[in-house]
Parts: sequence; structure tokens; C-alpha cells
Amino acid sequence: MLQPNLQNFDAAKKTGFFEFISRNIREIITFRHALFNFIGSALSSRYRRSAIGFFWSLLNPLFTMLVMAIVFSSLYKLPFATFSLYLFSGLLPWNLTTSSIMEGSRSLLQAEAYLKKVYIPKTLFPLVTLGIEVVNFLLSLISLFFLAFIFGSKFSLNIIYLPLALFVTCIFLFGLILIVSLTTVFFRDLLHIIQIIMLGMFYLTPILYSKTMLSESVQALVDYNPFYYFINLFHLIIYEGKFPTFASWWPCIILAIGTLSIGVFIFYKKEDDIIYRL
Amino acid sequence: MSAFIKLENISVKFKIYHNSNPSLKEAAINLLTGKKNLNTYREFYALNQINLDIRTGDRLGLIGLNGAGKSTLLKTISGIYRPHQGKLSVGGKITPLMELGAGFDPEQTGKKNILLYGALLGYSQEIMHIKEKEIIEFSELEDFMDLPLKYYSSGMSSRLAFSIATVTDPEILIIDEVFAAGDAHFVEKSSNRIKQMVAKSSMLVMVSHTLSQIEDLCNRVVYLDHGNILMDGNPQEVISLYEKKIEEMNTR
Repeated sequence: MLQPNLQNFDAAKKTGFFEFISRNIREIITFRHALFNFIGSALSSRYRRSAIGFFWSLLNPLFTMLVMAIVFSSLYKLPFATFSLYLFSGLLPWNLTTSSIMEGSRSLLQAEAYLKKVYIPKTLFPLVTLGIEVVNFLLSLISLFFLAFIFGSKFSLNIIYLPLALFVTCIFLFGLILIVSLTTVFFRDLLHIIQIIMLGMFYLTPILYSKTMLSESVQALVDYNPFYYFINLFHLIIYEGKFPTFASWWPCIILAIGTLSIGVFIFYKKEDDIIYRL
Repeated sequence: MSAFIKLENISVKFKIYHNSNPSLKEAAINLLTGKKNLNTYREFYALNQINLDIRTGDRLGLIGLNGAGKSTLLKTISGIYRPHQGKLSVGGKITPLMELGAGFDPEQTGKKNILLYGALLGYSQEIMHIKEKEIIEFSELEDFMDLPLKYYSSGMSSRLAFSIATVTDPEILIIDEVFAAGDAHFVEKSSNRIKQMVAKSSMLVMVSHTLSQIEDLCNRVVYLDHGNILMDGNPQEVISLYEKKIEEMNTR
């Protein structure tokens, strides 16, 4: 059993911020097998629970999205194939976002049994959540491509930039998960509050509609929604088949770095208190 | 290699919150109405300025009543609790033998759980694959390895947990009240294994309420009471003091 950094601990000396970061990275590498095992077993129990298992888990969101696509394409009088591709390319990253945040807020609470029995780096559990949700996203992406193929949609070569958009989104989400997982330990009702906020954010993010459909004043409101910028990247790459211009990237990059820094910083400040409050 | 654990003035403080379920809603209301008592709590020291020097060859047993701080001391050494005060230095790898079965996932098969449990203890997949056969053999659960753990009886899963936790040679062995459950045959087999492990380890720190076990395995005993060390010395003396105290309490 490796107990990094515990070789010498002195309560009078506070660890430096960068020392904290490098220690966490080292520990995550040491415990990488635990990380993969947690992700693997969460995924396998999620997909095994039903008779057709894995296939069902793809069918379920696909079916919901299909119904949405039918209703809204007729409402907007848009061709079904075009609108459904738009809808899916926004809804998939949105699902990744909300489930990361919702599951993320529980991640430390659910790890209580482990955290109280053996020494594991606490940042591992937010990372487990992100890992699970990213794998889910990638799996549902397969069903998106499958659907697009049936509808005869064409993808441009710019789809190769998708991993880049996903990477930036993951940095942002990891920062958010760090923040909500830690805050929920101290304020247990945050779970419900987040649920309400995310529901509101869903309607404030152009997913069921496009931004240009809104009046100018509401468009300005959307500009204040951080999630909009990330969903936009996916719209541009998958739906429009473009490489997003720098103007579309930079808000995401700044938000990602900012959120991650805040998340890491509050973990640095509060990490040692978690165990006493679980 | 010589192992050591040195605690200098170690204090661990627990806060007992009067409101054990803090909510953001309440915090916001308190802030708006100008109430100051956001989170009132009572503090107590689970460990109070503990000085302890454990060296290679020490087989240290911790005794004391419930709430004396025995488990807190083990968890502090293992790095689970960060002390609020004092210095802690640990030289050597720690292998904890904590409450058995804590790291198990009931939905997964026995085989998968071996890997999971090993990973929680910080072992690599490669090591676990090498040790897998030995673990299965020792647990005598060959026929159940492909079955999800939820179908195991409690005796069977603690047998598996024990077999995993004890498969490596520890440097610093930490035991918290763990002794294998199971049938008489397995209990006998596992107590032999513990003795082997202890013999191979360079240091043992254990908590137990079974005094005969302490007498059996330890060459040094620390008697803890309300986070303080009451006595530190050879097993017979400390245990007899402890027994006397308990008798006093019972006759009162």
C-alpha cells in the first residue's frame, strides 16, 4: 500500500498549492487501477441491469430524442432529418454535462465507505464520475452516427475536431464536478438546488431551438449561459460541419481553465476537512 | 529495511455539529435574517497530544474502551485522518487490514472483486493477476468465483476479503479488529496466516477487544483513554491495569 506524502506530515506547515497538485497527480497515477475498476464496474452494472443491456441503454435516449425530433421538427416546420441532427448534436453533450454535474455532486458522498477505510486520493472520485459519463457519451455518439447514416446526413471531415471539443468540455466539467462534489459534502441540499438550476439551464441553452430564433434581448441572456458556448462547439462541428473559429473556442477555453482552477483551489483548501464531514 | 512510525504531539479534533444535516437553504436564511449561528458545534479531541515512537520489531496492541481513540489512531497513521496538530512521520509501506469487505461491489463476480479490492489497496493489476490463484486457493471458493458477490453468504465474502488482504507481505501491518469469520476450519487457518504475516512484517499496530489476541500477538501494549495514553508498556502489565479499571467500572 502506497501512502504518498505521508512519510512526513507536519500540521504546522501548510502544503503549497503546487505541491498539492503534483501530489494528487502522483497519487492518481498510483491508484489508476482503482480508477479504471470503479469506472468499469459502474458501467457494467449500469448496462447489465436490463435484459438487452448495453443495447437498451443506447435505445433509451435515442427513443426520447426521436420523439423530441418529431414534435419539434413539425412545430418549426423543418425537415425531420436536418432538425434531428441538430437536436442530437446538442442534446448528447448536454446529457454529458448534466449527468456529470448531477452524479458528480454525489461522488464524494457515495465514496464515504471507501474514504473512511483506506487511504485513497479524494480527487479520484470526481474523476471516476467524469470517466463514466464520457464513456456513456461516446457510446451514445455511436448511436448518433448510426442515425445520421440512416437519414443520409453527411459529415464533413471537420468531425476530426470533435475530440478537441470533448477535451475542452471535459476540463470544464471536471472543474465543475470538483466544485459541486466538495460543496455537497458541506451543504447536503445542494443536490436538489443543482437539479433545479440544470433544468432551467436546459431551456436557456439552444438545444431544442437555435439561438437565432430568439429575440435579441433573450439572445443576450443566452450569452451569459456558460453551457451555451460548449454546446455551440458541438453544433458547429457535428451539425454544421465547420471548424469552430477562434471566437467560438476562446470562451470555452477560458471557462474551462477558470472552473478547473477554482475546483482545484477549493479542494486544496478543504480536502482535509472532507473526511470529518462525511 | 527498518520501518518506523513517529507521532509527536498529534491531536485529532472532531467537531460534532448540532445540525448534522447542514443545508444551503438554512445558511441562506440565516444570512438574510442576520442570525450568526451558522454552524454551531462542539469540539472534542479524539486524540490529545499523543507522543508515540514505534520501531522495527514492535508488535503494538492498542486497547481501551469504545471511543478511546484506538481506531482514530490507526486511521491517522494510515493517512485517512489529517491531524490538526503535531508531526507524523512514517517510514515504510503500510498495509491496512481494515473492516473486511468494505471495498466490495456486490454486483460483480468474485474474480472481478479480487481486482477491485487489490486496486483499492494500491496494488497493480499485474500483481493481482499473479496473486489471484493463491487468493482463490486460500479462500477455498474456487466454485464461486464467477458468481456475483451478492449471492455469497457473509462468511464467504469475509473469507474472500481476508484472503485478498493478507496475500502480500506487509512492511507495516495495521489491523483494526479484523479476524476472519467463517467456519471453525477457516478461523483456524486464518489465525495461522495472521501469525505468519505478523512474523514477516517489520511492524504491527493492531486494535482488538479480544485481550487474548493482544497477548498472543503483541510485545507492547498502549492503553488509550479519551484520546490520551494512560499506559505504555509490556502486555501483561498494561492488560492487567486495563482489566482492573474495567472491574472498577463494573462494581461501581
